[in-house]
Amino acid sequence: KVWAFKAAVATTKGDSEELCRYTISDSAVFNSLVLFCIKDMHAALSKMLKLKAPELILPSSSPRWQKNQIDIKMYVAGVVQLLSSLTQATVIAAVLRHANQMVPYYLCLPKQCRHLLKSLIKHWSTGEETVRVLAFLALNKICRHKQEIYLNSVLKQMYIAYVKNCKFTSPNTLPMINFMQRTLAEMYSLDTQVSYQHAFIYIRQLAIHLRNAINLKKKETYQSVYNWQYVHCLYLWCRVLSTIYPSEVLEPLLYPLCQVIIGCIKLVPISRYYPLRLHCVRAITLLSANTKTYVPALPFLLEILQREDFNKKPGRMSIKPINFAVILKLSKTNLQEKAYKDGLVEQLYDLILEYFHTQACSIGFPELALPTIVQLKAFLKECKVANYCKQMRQLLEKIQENCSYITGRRQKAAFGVADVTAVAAWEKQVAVEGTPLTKYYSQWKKLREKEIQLEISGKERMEDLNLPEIKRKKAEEKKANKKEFKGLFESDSDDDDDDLFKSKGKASC
Amino acid sequence: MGPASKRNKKKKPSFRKLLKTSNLKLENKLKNRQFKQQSSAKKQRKEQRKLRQAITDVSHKTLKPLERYKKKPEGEEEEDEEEFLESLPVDMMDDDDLEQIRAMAKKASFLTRDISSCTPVHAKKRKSEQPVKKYEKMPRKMQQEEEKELIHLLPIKDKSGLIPQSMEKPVVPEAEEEEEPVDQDELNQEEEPEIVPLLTPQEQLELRAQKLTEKKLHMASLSSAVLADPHVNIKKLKELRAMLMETDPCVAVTVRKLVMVSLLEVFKDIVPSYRIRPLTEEEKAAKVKKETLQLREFEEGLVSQYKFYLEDLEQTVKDWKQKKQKRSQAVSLQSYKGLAEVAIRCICDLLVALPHFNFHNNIVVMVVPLMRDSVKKVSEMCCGAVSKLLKQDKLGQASLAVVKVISGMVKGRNYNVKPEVLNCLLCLRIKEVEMRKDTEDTAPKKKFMSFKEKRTNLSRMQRKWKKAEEKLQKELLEAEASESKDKKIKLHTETLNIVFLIYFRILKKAQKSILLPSVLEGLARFAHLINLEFFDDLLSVLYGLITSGDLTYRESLHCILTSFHILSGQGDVLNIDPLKFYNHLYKTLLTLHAGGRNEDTAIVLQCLDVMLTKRRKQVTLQRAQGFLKRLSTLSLHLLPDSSVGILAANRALMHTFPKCDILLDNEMQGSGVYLPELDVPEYCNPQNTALWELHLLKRHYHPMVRKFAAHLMKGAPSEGSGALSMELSRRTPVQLFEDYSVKDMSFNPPVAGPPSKKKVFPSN
Repeated sequence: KVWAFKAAVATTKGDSEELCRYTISDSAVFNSLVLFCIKDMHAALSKMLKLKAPELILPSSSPRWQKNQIDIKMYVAGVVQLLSSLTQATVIAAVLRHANQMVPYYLCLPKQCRHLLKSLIKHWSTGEETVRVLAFLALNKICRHKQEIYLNSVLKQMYIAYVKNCKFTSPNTLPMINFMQRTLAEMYSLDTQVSYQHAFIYIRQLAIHLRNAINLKKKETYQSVYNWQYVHCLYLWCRVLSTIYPSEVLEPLLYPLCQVIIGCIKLVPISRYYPLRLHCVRAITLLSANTKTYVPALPFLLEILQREDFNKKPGRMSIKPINFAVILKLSKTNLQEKAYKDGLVEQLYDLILEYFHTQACSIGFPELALPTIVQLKAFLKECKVANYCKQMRQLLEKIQENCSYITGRRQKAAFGVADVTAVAAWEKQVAVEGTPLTKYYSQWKKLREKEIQLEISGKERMEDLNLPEIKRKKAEEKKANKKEFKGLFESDSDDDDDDLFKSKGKASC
Repeated sequence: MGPASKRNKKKKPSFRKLLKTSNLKLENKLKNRQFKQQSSAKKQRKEQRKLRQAITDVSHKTLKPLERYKKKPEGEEEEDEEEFLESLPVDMMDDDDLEQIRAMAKKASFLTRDISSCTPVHAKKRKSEQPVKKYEKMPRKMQQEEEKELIHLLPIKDKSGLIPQSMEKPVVPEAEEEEEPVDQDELNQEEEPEIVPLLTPQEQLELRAQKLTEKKLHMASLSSAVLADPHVNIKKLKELRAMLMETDPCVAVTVRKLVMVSLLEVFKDIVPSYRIRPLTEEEKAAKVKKETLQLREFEEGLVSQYKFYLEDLEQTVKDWKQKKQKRSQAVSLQSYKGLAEVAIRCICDLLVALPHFNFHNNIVVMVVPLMRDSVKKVSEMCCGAVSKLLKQDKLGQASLAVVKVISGMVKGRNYNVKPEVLNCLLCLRIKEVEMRKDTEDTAPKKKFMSFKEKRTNLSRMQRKWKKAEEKLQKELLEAEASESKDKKIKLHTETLNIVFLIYFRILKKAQKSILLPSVLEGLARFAHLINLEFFDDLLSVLYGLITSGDLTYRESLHCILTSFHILSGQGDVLNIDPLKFYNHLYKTLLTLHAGGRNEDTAIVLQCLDVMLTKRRKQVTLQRAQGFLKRLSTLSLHLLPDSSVGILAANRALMHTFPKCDILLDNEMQGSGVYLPELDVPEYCNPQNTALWELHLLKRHYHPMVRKFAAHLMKGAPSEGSGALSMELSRRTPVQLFEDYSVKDMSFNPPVAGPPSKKKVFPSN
């Protein structure tokens, strides 16, 4: 057995470096060899080292470890090399799965582990769907087990990889970026202390960029803020802070982050950058929905409604609707198109509704909604395009309905403004019962998702692009994520327990 | 019309008298005359007086709008004010005046050429040709002289180079050294096309560098000599100035620039802190000590050199403006721009640095028209210099001169001026003016006991002592501040009158001009100094402006602020209910939001302070509550700094109207429902709602907003657990708004860095 294993190790290695005893020229042989390794190596090794439950115990604790260390080292290094030289997605996926199994071995070998991490991050940030997921799983596993050693550098490298890979955003890459965002947020949630340091430094960096842009007022400095990387970073930190919400450590960062986002909106408030503004508002909405923080976002939306003249006849007709999700800046011709106005109204509707949804159960909802109501009424008075009016009227009605609901309820309440706990309880109660707006929102959300699906399938029929593929994969990935997250949370709690024990032990000492 | 014109005639002499008695002007005139080398002094003086009269007439005419505001003429006004109001109705005057002015304008260049070097904007060449010729002769002559001198000097240069080196003081060369490299860099490119074709470029460059260093050394030695002992070496100044006429084409521009700048520095250093007065005939005749004689010589030389220097500067600017190629073709047209810029910079520097010295008025006259120059750099430079001067001016004299010229320009240009020009006026440092003369006249007299009192209260000896004491006191007072203070106030009054004149004129005649925002801003700033009798009309004009709907939000805020400043000052005697203004502010409050201009909040806060907190007795509870509620709602939709400001204003409201605390209760008071969308604070039933939005604000992302919300929620207590800290509670809303400004992405309060690496977010 050991002999066969040794040969396998050698061949794997020889495959990439070709300076070994065996040279493999035949691809069939190579394939079967690799396949064999992937399938059986883990079991063979654990058998050899006489490990019972491989997940829990490190292989180095085995009595036979010393004897076999060199061989294992060689093999493990070979796997890493194989990973970095492969190109076909399915093969990489298979090897990754194997590497995932082998994680305990890597954990005992720091040098190889570092190499592995490097290639994992590369796959995580650039690979295909399943590859990314698998790479992330492995990364997560490693970091969970050896937090103090790897987490810091892994987070840093992942962040850099994320920034590098979100330079361009298209319908194809958007899901990938979203995936990276979510998984990275997951990584950050492993240790809030470490994440605070990272978040602090990077948000500060964003703030400095923004400040330079404000102070210098030059086109290049504006460009350093108004780009996808910046926007995606804002998203990322919003995502991170909202995933790790009830955390005292990270809460102080809400304030600078919000300030940076709002500053970003206000940097160049012209209509060509409306898409960017909408992105920022979306980020704010995400943040304020998940962190119970109030961040004013409506004024920025209402300003668009106020400034844009929707009555003006569009100068150009266009077939293609503008996809606001994947643009930051509109061209001048875009601004004259009908599609621009259609899209803008739709986006405004979505975002206003979404924002109000996040605050629907707040006791101050009527006050929050007042400017919107005034503004929408003014809009309806002015606007002569039936389509837009219809949408906005519907929105107005829903908001007003919610207003009167909240007003009615709070008038009956027996407590005063100063009673904080009573108000909190009241808001909770309302949230449980649901308000007109929340009900409408859940209906609308379903419809909207269906609409998007339809749109996509329609496109598929029309152009037969690779869009639907991505959609499918996205769903798949979501599933995978969910599964994985469940696992993560469990293991997280385990880790926490361990930590607790450790600290207790220390304390007792 | 008949009686009016008669009256006018009667008044006129008094006006002239007034002019005469103005010591300043007289002094100025005298001096100017002294320095004139021509003998036609008397004639000119006459003309000058005429000119001045014409100018003042212009300023009278400009007052016309005001006169229409007035419904009945009032007799018991200040003298000069009455006068200028009364002289207005004469329509017949207009044409004559105009002609006169035109004539004056043409002559002005001639007149002022030597005195003030003032050039009215529309000076026509036709008539001024003669004087120019006369003038042109002078430099030419000098040029020759200078060249001779130079030739003489060059061989001795080793000597002159050596001597100053021994006495060189470290301060002087530094100032020059600073300037030189910069200028040179600028110039290297400019000069290249002028190279003489005989030499290779390399050699030419070398030659040029050599020449330049020679000249520089020369300049340095000269100026350091002057600085080392200005009284002895005043002649050197002349020599230095002569270098302004540098003719060598390859170094001319550089040398001229350098000379300009070094002369500027030299003058700044050696000019005495007093104005140099020309000697009278008697004084000249009288025998004096040797030192005095020397001093006189020095002063005379200094003044004349300074004058020539200014003239040169002006000529440079003028040449540039007229695109003429003069001065023996030594300087190419392109490089004139740079030269003129340096000249303008020098003039601006002098404007700011030597406001007390002779010819300052002339400098003002030179700079002000340049404020509206089409070249942005120039206009910015001049506006900056004028603002700085107005800010620094403590005596008020210079401000008056500036304002006068600006007024003339605004009128003359038919309000076609850049707003920046008017914005400069905002820098005026005027705190008080004399409102009514009678109160002030009586006030100081009361200090001393009347004779009767003394007689009854004091013994003979005491009386004697007292008398002596009082006399001494009076003398002391006169010698010291009191006199200058009176004078200052007088000057300020005059200045402000002219400023308002500009403003009112624009309000009346050019409401659509781009100047309106700056006018409204200026009115808001000086509103407490406006004279009582204009209030009524001004208020109606302002209200008209607001309701017309043409104004931007900021402008309408300025209108409101102005009117309340007026009303809160002496205007409280007027019985006007500014309800309309309240309603307008209430209605437009919601135009303020995070997406818009954040700076407007400061004005809103000021308005709130004047309208609600300071007028608590005139404001009904309903109105206060209405505002409180709307402001709280508003603060949900602002940037954090504005929110903090508004919340602080709310705190002040709650303190001034303690009954507002029903807004913290959830009980119904009387009938009616709160109508948030109604635009009248009185009728929206604010008593039937509560400040629920504070709970949203309590979750605000900005820590300061959270703090204030929590504070207000508890009824804004000044003591106890819910109270604010001392520093916070003492700040006014506007100050707080500025403290937490988010304009330049600074973080206040700072965000704590990660514990390991003590970095802190950039805070103020």
